[in-house]
Amino acid sequence: MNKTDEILERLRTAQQPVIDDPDMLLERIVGSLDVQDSKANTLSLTGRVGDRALLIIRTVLSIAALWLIGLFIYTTSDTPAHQLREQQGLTYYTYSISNGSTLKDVYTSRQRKGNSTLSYTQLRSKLYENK
Amino acid sequence: MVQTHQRAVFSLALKMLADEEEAKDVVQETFIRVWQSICDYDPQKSFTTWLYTIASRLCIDHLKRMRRLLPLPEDERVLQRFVADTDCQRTLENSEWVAIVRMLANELSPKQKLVFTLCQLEGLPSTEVEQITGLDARQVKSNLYVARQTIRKRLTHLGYE
Repeated sequence: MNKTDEILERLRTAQQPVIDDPDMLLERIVGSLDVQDSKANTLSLTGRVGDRALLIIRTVLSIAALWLIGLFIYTTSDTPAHQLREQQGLTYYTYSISNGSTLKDVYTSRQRKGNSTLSYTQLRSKLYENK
Repeated sequence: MVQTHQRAVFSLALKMLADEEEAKDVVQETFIRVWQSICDYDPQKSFTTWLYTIASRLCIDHLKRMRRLLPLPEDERVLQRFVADTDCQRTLENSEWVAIVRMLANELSPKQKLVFTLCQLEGLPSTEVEQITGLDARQVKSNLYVARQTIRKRLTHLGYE
């Protein structure tokens, strides 16, 4: 055995370090554990309130997002059909968002649509009324 | 639990950090961590190994934060006295432990110091050291080899070899 091994072996078998005042250290540890415990309780209480608020905000935002998506789909699906009818030279009265979005606009556009369904005789008289 | 294990944690921390107050801080932090993460403890495994794992990580963190401690002239005299003493069961004071560790393990990296302390000074089996450090057998062996070679060089430089 060389000198290094001998020194290391003696260190391994030597008396291990001791805490000069174990009771004081124990008191210090237990004291800090109490502080940690009370901190954890406070955090969990505030955490619960925070969680509830977060849940409400998430729900409101989800509903708003769904409403916006629905509105987007509604408006985009209506516009091409309207444009197609115009291209075909047909006169339709629809109440798309471009005609207005108030309740009055919708009512007026429905009225127009009702008027546009003329009978054959009405159409013929309209057609020849200027002749 | 604190009473049962605080000495073992203190022993590891003192040898790693070579500072009594820092070692006490590590003991305190270790038990706080144990308290906070007791739910993560797997009862199938050894509690001591888990405790040593927490303490080791805290020691490494402290070592990284601490400025490097250089050996003092008195440290060499402490080592001389220890080597000259023929009593195998010699009692070492904490200050003597600090001086000897500062003399021998000053140039080791934190990982080498940890492996050396656990294997050589604490006398833990290599399987347990692997679990504590998270290193595999080859890494433990190579870290221990480098640590021993560094200490051998140091002792040769001091004229003990």
